[in-house]
Amino acid sequence: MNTGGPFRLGISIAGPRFGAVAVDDSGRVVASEVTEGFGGLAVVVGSVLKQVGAGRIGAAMLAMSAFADWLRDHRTVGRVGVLRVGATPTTAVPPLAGWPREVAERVAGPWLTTAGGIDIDGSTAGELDLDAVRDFAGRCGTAASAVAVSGSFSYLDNRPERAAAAVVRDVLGAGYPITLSDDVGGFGLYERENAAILNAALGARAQTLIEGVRSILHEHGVGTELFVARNDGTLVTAPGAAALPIHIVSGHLAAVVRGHARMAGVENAIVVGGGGRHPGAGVVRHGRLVLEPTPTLAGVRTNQPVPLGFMAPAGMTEDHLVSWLRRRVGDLPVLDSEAGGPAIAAAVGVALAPVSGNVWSFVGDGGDRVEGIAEAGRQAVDRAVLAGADPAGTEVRQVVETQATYMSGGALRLFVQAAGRPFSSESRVP
Amino acid sequence: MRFTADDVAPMALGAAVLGGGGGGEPFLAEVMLREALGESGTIEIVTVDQLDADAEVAPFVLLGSPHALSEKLLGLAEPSIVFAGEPLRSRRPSAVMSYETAGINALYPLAAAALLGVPCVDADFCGRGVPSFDLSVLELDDVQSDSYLLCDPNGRTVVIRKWGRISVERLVRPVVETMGWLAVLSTSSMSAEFLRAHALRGSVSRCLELGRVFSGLAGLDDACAARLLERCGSVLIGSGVITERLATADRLGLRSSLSIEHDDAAEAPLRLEARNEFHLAVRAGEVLASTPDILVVADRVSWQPLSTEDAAVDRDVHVVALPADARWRTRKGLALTGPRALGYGLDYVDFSAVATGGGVR
Repeated sequence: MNTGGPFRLGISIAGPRFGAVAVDDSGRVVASEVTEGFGGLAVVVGSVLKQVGAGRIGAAMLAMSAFADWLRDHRTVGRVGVLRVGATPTTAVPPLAGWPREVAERVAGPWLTTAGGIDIDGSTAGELDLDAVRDFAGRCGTAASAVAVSGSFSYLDNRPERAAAAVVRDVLGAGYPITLSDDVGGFGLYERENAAILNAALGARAQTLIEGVRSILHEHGVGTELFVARNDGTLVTAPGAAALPIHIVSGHLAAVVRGHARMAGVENAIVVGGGGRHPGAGVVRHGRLVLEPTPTLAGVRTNQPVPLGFMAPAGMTEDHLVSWLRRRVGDLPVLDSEAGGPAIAAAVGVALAPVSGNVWSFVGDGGDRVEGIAEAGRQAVDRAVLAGADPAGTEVRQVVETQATYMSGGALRLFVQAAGRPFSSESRVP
Repeated sequence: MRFTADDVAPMALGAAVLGGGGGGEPFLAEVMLREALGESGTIEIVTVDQLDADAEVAPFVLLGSPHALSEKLLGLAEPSIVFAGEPLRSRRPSAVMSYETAGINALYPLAAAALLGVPCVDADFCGRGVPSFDLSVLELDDVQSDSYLLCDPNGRTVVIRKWGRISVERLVRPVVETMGWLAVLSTSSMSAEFLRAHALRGSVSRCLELGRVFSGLAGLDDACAARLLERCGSVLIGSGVITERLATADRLGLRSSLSIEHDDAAEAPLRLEARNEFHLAVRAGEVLASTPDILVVADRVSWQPLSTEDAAVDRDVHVVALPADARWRTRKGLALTGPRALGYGLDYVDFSAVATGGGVR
């Protein structure tokens, strides 16, 4: 048995393939195991813990491809009621408009658009139609298993969404699953609402899956915090992931790409071998995972960035995937993760990832840019800490400013990401 | 011609091409149009010559910022309010038309026509994406309307009447801003005779045709694509990766410079100058194409045109120049929309003269 620690336990679940590693603080892999087939998770976790000892695990990290497979295979997901709080009618583009019919038919529950949302200047237009919302909630009780609530400009003010959700809870009970578009985040009501609907549809599965992993860890004596890989490969705590599965759909591919690039010691590469049921590939450039900002997921336009390559056209072989990516990002060297094993790459990638918090915000005409960025940065740090980052050392890692076109006064869209190392119960380790 | 659900996709692609990086992404109006058409709906597209002598036409244009649009989407009420045009019109118009057949404004009037059940005229006043309401052939001919109706997404309306020459852009823009950066505008109704004298003809047809050409480019090698583009008077100026993007602001507002590194490293990088649209393409100090001709920056694989916002570092792209309408290439037209009018210190360069014999460079 190895000594030392605390170690991070990295776990990869992709289709029937399982992998687990224990890594030390410097990123060195001290134990690893892979297997295939039913019950594989207990096998790989058990094997790694036997090598390092359950008491030496400071934190556990999970990357899984289940949600990606569900989105691609259009497997059965829950039916979702959609409640849109639009400042404005927004009625010419109703919820679920533009969705592929076969997806809409499986996901669509009742929907309602009501006034009382936020306008661009922060003002409220009209009032929430309480009777209509109660009636909508009543219909959802029988015709949907979850509700998605979307509100215009929710990143300026999310109170209308929260007020609407409170009415739904009044009718359907405090435990009824509700996704708020502001928790999903991002710009664009249509894209944010779509992501919230997909999130609500995946919610019950996420809860079950993540609980399953936690209980296996408990059985093996690992009682530490469990983190899950998000779409960009950064981490969030298990409850956060279970509530927002739309944030983790591409987490496994992101972990494979980050992990393999790290193990190979390269900053620029196309990494193939996603490890899920479908061929996967991603790109790192200058040490960063290259993301697609507005991907189409399950045929639906969303605003949740996923690794470039995650959305490769279905049925593409790995060779074609590489040339497809090359045409997007140029002639980078290709790393085949099958060589080292995608399960190990993902387990390493997720074990060594930071925890992040994201904020979208907008500095309008006459607003103070510096203050806007500082405020978004403070919020991002708070969100990262809530997602499980160690408050010591969590800081703003990325600020993306985009000038809004056709707007005078220098209006700015801001995306700010803060990140830090996972807060782990290292005091448990002697 | 009957516009059907099958025409929506090529129309949206052509609209993005004509936007030249601006005009607002067509997507939301595309969804609205599909919803309005349903599976079997159609829109009658009429040429200006087919209009009855007593026909009255209401031009439609969405004004505002894509940022506002992205959260407010589009409403069902505005088209009928603007079409009825209460204080503006003495009788109900017989058709709608697009003011600016580019970006979202190429699709929105069609969606309005489908909702209202009226024809849409195959014409417009801009022929490309423009940064200001004043950059139209109506300004060129000095026949701007005297009356305007604006309607915001809450159904609130404002009427503007002017006497004499004054910038409509400057009158209208503060109203759009007060309305929350999004409004639908129409003018007093226009007669068939007026449109025959002033409008740019065949705008919807051209947009559809360009959309069909661009949808056929994906999958072709660059040389084939270039030949296909040349057949519609366009030139593939270059292909490569955006390696740098600088943003500044001057008295005309936001301005960005993009550097595109050619696949062949020996080739000097292509520089693009942009504001709300792409305006100049320059290589090694030589201007290869300039406004008012249309500069399209398209995704390398899909040939989907990118907005100036989306043309970010690391994107692999093609740059294509398309000719603007001949009326924009006249001395008077260039005074309004040439490089100098848009804040660049140089004269118009006709890309077809520069690139002769060049093909893919």
